[in-house]
Amino acid sequence: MSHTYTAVGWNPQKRRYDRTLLLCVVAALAVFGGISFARNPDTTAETLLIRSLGFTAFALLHVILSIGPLCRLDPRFLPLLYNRRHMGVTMFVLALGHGTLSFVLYHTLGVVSPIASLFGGDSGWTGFAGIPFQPLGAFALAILFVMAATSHDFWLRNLTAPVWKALHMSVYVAYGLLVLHTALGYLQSDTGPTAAIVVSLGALWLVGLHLVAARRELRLDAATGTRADGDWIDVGAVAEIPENGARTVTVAGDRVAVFRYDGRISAVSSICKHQNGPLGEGRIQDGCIVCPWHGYQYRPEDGCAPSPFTEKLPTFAVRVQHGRALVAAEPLPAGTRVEPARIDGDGVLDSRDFYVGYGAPPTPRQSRFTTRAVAMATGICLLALALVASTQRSLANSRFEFGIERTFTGKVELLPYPVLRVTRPGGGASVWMLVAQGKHGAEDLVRAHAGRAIRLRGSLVHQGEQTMIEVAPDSVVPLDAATSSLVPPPAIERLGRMTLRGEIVDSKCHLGVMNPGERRTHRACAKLCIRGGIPPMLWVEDEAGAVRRLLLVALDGTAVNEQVVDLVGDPVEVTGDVTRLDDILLLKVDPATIRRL
Amino acid sequence: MIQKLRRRHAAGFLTLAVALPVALILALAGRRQATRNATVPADPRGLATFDSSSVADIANAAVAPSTLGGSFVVGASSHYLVVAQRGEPAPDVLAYWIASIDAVATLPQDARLLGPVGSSPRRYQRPEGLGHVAFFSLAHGAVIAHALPAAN
Ligand code: HEM
Ligand code: FES
Repeated sequence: MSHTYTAVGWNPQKRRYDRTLLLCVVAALAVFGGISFARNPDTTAETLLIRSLGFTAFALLHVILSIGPLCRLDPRFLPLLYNRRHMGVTMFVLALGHGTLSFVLYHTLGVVSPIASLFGGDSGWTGFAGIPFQPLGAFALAILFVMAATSHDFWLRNLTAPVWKALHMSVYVAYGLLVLHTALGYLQSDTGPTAAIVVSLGALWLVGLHLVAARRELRLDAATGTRADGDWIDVGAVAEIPENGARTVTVAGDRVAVFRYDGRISAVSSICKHQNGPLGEGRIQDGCIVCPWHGYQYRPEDGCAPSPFTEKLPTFAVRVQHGRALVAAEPLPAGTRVEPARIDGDGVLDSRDFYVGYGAPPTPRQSRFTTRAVAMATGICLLALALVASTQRSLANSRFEFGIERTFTGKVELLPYPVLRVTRPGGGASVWMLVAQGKHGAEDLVRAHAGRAIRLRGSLVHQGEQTMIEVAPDSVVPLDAATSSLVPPPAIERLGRMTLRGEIVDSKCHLGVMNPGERRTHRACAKLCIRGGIPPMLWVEDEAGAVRRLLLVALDGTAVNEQVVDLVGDPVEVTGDVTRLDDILLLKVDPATIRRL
Repeated sequence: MIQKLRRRHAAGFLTLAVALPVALILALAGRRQATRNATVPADPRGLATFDSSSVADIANAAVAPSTLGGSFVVGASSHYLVVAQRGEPAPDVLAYWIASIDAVATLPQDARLLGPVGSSPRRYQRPEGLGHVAFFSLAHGAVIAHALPAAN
């Protein structure tokens, strides 16, 4: 098969459609991003982008999937279908931005390959709600990619309409995956009711709308196609067929469009050669049947597209008897000319008035309807986005001085996690945790200097009163023993045995490198960080909301990274001995006794 | 052909119509429960924290804007100073009692450490005599705010 690629044909309607689409998308991003920022000014720009892109794409997908059934229910929605392809591609671009940013942020710079982290990093989960959500998004993105890549008519012709249609039906699989992606990710972290209700209503709307449209189609199939006289099928009274329009009947399981125009009747297959559009819902303009979906044209008497086009429809013999139209039960080969049947004197119905984005200009009534439909869809989406954005969980007041390097001096200790103990002018010391760049611990950088003073460069991460340094590579300089002796000995206080409920987090993201840096949405990244040696911390809160963070240490004083990696991101109960060392808390625990709640 | 496609479409969609609500309900039912604790370990940054309303209670609380954005509040009585951080976070902030304010952002030699500052108010013994409270970020190595507490 050889088909040449033809560039997209532009026309003023398409431009107008795209301008409107772009405007709505920008409005959606601005509404979600703006409200999110107002609600959580300390969130990172990446999170703002990831969420705005994700939810805008998801909202747009709902619009895209609504247009098909809406057109089946009311042809006045057809102008929206006309250029739906551009909506699909726009949605894919938004989703690609969301997916790429998430992928880079959550899966790169770790100790396993990003792909392995995306698909296998988040292991050790339990229960349905624990299923890793990011691979589901990735599968959906792959489907959307194939659809966007093959959306041009070039592919439609190359793949043939049935294959192409079947391929594009996988959008429902993608939609199912995305509902789960959201329900197992975002909704597991943001546990308020609003977002859950909005997502559920979206699913209910789409499922309900499709079921209603399917029922109407089934009824249509059942109601048409009453067999008359031998090989002829009674289509109904000629007077019931609108002038320049058609009535659709089902013949041997396939749909036939019986058109009435200029006092004549012709019948062709109702299935458009382009994307199976319903020709029976199109109308005759300038002597040609015009498909309501994208405007392909066919001559009613022989089913052929006007030159230079080559599409051909099967045709059917027709008769008019006692004011009723009859159509032959067997199709003729595509492109066979059939003499139209003449009708005399029967009343003429108003032709249905709708506009499909090409050809004759729309009537004012249709224009008003289209504008109202677009405004309504945009309004509903913006409202849903605003509701979700304004009910987001409030995020921490944290900072990562990304790109700003400072010099620090202090004494390195391994607790077993590396920390820098810094002398406070006037007495005592502060303890700052040390980590390396990316998703790596700093042990390799400073182990050799344990117990001694060093100078290093790095970027600060801080939240509340906890401070951390992301150590710049090759910046550690050992200092003399005299400097070491200036750092006071640690103040150690045993606070006793405690049972605490909270979440194990990777200290680096949680303290501010990412915001949010905890809960289910962050789980895969936290695992990668903890595998890479970032100190695991237990993050707990009391009834009044006071927060404490405790470094988790094994009973023998060693790191517990490997033992707790599968427990991060979910609520756990931990029992152990709490010790204060200067201004940080340590929790000594037997990792085997940590209980997932 | 079209009928087969439509039947497949219908079957696919019906599967989704049944499976999706089930999956959604399962996912929502499995959401995490709140994990608050009756008690948590004492604040490791020391000294008792207490009811945040007490800052407002102390008459003439001074507000010191921070060079990092945000601000610090200093409530004063004849025996105590109450300090707390508001808004924009700052890394490892310590409060000092200093005799006079220098234009430069360094800590004077005779600065007296009161203690750490955080968003929950902390109370420190008020040193004798006249003085200012300086807020020093140990991590930035700079004084980021100072306030003149109300006289006794
Ligand atoms: C490689 C593919 C993908 C990856 C790695 C990915 C990753 C993520 C992550 C990490 C989050 C949680 C972000 C947070 O709230 O902190 C998320 C949420 C979300 N994703 Fe995806 N995603 C992918 C594909 C998609 C696609 C194709 C869509 C379709 C529109 C989508 C829609 C959403 C939505 C609506 C949310 C909830 C809002 C949010 O939290 O950002 N995702 N995704
Ligand atoms: S289906 Fe696209 S023009 Fe008919």
